[in-house]
Amino acid sequence: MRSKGIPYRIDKIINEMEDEFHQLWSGSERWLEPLSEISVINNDIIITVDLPCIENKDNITLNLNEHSLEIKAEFIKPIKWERWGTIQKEIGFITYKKTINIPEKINLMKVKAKFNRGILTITIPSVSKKSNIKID
Amino acid sequence: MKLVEDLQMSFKSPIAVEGLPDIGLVGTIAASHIIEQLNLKQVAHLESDEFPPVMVLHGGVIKNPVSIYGNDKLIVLTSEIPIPVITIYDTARVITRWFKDKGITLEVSLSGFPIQDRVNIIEPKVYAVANNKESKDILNKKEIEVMEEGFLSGAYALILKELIKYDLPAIALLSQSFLKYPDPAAAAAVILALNKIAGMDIGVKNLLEKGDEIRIKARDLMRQSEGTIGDMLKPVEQTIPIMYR
Repeated sequence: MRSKGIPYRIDKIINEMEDEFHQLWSGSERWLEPLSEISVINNDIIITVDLPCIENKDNITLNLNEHSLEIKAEFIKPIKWERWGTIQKEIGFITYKKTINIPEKINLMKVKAKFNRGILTITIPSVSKKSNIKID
Repeated sequence: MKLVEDLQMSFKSPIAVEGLPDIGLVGTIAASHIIEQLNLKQVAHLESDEFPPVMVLHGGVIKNPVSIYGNDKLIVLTSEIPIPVITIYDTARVITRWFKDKGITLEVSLSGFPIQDRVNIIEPKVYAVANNKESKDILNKKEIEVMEEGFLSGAYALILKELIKYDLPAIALLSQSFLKYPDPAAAAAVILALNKIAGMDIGVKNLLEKGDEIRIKARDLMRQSEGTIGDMLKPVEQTIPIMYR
């Protein structure tokens, strides 16, 4: 018997493969979607993005609004492979691209970003108000 | 589930290594590097109706993605697809029975354990888990730090447990690693610890130099493995057991 989550995951994998397929054939600008993680630590939203082959912070562009963060990172020279999956011809990528939805209200002025050894870390302070609860 | 032998190999008291997809793909990256470095041949594969309906193409020929490679002294189990949680018990039972039949003297599982501050660590530290006194003695002798208390989850936990039944020593080498990002440096760290334990000399220079390339190539398997890592209750490894002795 298959577990409940497997059909969902197969759909997810197929969707990701379709996205990848479309991006590979969508004109001259071929891009990769980087891996990313989002977590909440001490009331801060921490987003990390894995950007191997990006050598320094000057190659990364971040655009943030109240709802989403758009990340674009350019390789200094195209990353090339002789084959990519079942695509049997040389292929190159020039950028990473990713848009991440921000789950709650944020203060745009207090966002910090750091790039260390291929990992981009963005710290976004949440502005959700905290209130003290009196214990009877 | 069944294990199918693809090549007749006469093993001489081999060591078995397991590197299935898990935290930071540490085991998978390490296993793949060992197979390439030692030019190991595929000797067997696992088949199950519960595995995803996927075959992998290598050199124009389809292959089973959950495969066993080896030479007469070394056996390496790895997978190019995530192993669904419901098949892990069967996988552990089938593979350990085969290891026993092939006369292994030691089993070593390679994996990672996630730490939040991984980005600031240049040389990840390796900890080890033993399944019996014999394997714990090996670790003490080789001066590899042993985890004394805690929970373990995933394929390696069950493989260690199954090998207790056969009274065979087994060790899990766990490197500090990223949780959801492929971590070649962590893979290099477990290979160096494996060298110490098994008296091997597998170089990691190439693995570290190709680190960024591996991180890109392993991106899809990492993404696909996220669900199974969650299902394996990996966060339980960060919790404290209630029983004290």
